[in-house]
Amino acid sequence: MPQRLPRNPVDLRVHSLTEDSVTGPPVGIPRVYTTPFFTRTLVTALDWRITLAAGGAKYPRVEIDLDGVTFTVAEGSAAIAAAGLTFVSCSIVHPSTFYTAVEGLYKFPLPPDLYLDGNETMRFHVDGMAGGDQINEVKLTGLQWLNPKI
Amino acid sequence: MPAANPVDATVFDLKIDSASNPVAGAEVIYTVPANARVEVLYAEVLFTALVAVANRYVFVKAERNTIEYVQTACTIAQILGDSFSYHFVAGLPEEVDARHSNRILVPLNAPLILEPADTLRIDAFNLGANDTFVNCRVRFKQWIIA
Repeated sequence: MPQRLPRNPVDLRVHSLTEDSVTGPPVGIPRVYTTPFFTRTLVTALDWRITLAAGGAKYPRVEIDLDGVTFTVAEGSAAIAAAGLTFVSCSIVHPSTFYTAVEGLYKFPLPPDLYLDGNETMRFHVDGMAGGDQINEVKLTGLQWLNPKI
Repeated sequence: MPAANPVDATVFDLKIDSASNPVAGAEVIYTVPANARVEVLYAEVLFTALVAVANRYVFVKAERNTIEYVQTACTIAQILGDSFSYHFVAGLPEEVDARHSNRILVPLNAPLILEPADTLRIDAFNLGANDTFVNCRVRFKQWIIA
């Protein structure tokens, strides 16, 4: 009988590194990403772009929608004061919100256990979003397992 | 048998559960199922303050065998007339004041693991008799204990 060995956490049979993206959302509404069936995903980083028609009291926000319940799991604490393009990076390694309007760079922390099962949704939003504002080119990075239990 | 990989999809379930809305002036109590161990990922509750009281801070505590442990408290006082949705997020490193849209994100200890029949309680320091908590939902990892 062959000896059973512990699973290697970097073995692709255990999980795969996932990079998924959503592009081309309509102007003025949040962008929604739905995970594939039969998977469990641990999101570790998100990158996206926000193009604002006007700056102001606007804050990037990440929500998960589960069975009709919305949990706000992360939100930046600095208002995007400038109109135009902002590059947003949201990661489990960012210790706090960082924003510089001149370069249009925005970072804020994600919780470390951001798990999603199959067909669950994550929503990318801007608190204070107005009709001319747009979210573009969302990229998710993380680990993904096939989940036969679902 | 080797130990199971704790992030293996077959090890735990991801669940959402609700707590009953308490009467005015009382805390929210969510009780862990008798056959499960859970790790709390997020907890959400809407709190409305209807009485003028100073230093009213919403907080989360865990209870095991009648001993209560305060886990974390929001640092923003809630005053008369406020109605905020509190989102407790495990492992979030900073509190986020989003009162401009009636929300506050509060860091929660990570991992916050509760045993069968333990309770997760959401309360407020200086809670008023007519203050209300409603719509408490908890998202957690769940391991079934045989």
